[in-house]
Amino acid sequence: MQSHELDGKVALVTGAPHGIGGAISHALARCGASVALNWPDGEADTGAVSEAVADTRIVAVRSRRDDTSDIARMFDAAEHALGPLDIVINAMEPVQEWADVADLSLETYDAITQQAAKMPFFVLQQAALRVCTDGRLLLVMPDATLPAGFTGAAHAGAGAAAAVYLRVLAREVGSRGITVNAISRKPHEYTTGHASQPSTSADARVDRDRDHGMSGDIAALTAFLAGPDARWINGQILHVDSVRPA
Amino acid sequence: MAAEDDAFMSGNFASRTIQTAALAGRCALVTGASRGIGAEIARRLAQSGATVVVNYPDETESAHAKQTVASIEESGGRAFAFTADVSDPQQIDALFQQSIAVCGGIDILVLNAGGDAVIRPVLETTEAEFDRVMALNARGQFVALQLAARHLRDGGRIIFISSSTASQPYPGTASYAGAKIASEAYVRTLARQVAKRDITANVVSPGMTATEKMLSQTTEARRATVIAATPLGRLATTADIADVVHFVATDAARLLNGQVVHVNGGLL
Repeated sequence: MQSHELDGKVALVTGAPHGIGGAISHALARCGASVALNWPDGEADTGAVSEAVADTRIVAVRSRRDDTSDIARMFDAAEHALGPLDIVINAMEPVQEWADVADLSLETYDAITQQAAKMPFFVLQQAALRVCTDGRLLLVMPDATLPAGFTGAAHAGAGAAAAVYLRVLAREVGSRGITVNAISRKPHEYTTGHASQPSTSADARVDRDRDHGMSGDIAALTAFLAGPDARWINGQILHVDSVRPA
Repeated sequence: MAAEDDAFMSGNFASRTIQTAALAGRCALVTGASRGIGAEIARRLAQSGATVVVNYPDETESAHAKQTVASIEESGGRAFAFTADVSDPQQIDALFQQSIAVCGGIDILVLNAGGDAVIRPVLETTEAEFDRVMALNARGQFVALQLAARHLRDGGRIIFISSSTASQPYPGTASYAGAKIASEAYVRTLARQVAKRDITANVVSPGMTATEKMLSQTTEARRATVIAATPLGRLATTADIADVVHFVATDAARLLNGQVVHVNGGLL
């Protein structure tokens, strides 16, 4: 999909370049935006970063992983490279570890909550402070609904919290024409009926997404929400259907 | 690519078919498309290359429907106006047959016709009023959805236009909101059943939109209340709604299925 719908727009996308963040950055750039793609420390360069910045409209911006105190500096770096921000997309997805409530370690609970609730809150905070009039704030987040057999209580709780953040923030910043929305999706484990199986790595999930063409489709939906045709969608969570037809 | 650049640089934004032919070769049937949101949806789909059937309920809307067809043709698009009262199953069936006859098939069905709400407390609603509201907003929609499930081409799109009233009903709206929310449930259930043919079925639920009908049916005080409660501080235009319906109708939206997309500037 190529268009001019985001010509002149400046975007910051948080999230590993080889994850959904990379696909979103490419989609925004194809629509004409300049993109700062966040590259958190500890994420290996699988070639996705070099591939991204080969597009002259994408620059890489480092940050300390999962560190709320480094968010402001990341925004500073993006603005320094590209100018005032129009679009901020938090696409950093939380660690994919699943267990029943009784068995989940507190350490894993803290990591999931940090990544899927606390970081989005403070990324939204910085974004709301800095983004231009008529800007777009977007989260990619876990599905907060709880289908039977799903063992992701910590993810669902963090997703539900993030849903509240975006709906309240939409009311707080609406007078500046800024919209706040999210895209949520069920974990792959649920859609293949193996909800009770233990974790798979983020890399494996990325590979499955690519195999199914999911990341490109999610990126296209994100580019729509970041663009002019979605101006009247606000405070909403769009659930993407990751069930492929048989 | 050069042609796109020229169109863009010359500011020829009215001719968006140069920039995107996303729906070229497709046929869209839009019910209740003589005026208002339906007419804007018809125009927007035609801009992306779809041939559009503009449905209108009866002779009182005939002139408006022809006007919508004319505006599409003036912009280089292709459209037909066919009458059918979508509370009548036989007329819905005839509408589908006519549309298939002129287009060869139907790819996109936008169920926009509806309304005629009877604002009446539950205690005072007559059976006739209840039946009339249900016939148009639920039963007729169900029949149309059955026909779509049978006749839509693979890869097609079913889009039901609901109303924010369905999600946030207020006193007097029980029969209307109930009928609309029933249709939302039909669509969400149908989504699973048509997915194997790569058809998606979704709901787009607009908030208060500045159309002739809406302006004549609401008081200024009511509109002011809605505007004050809307984060973006205004009422929707028909284009605000049509641009979202257009996206849902495109291939890029294939991941949206069985969803209710609320388009209300943040009101809900």
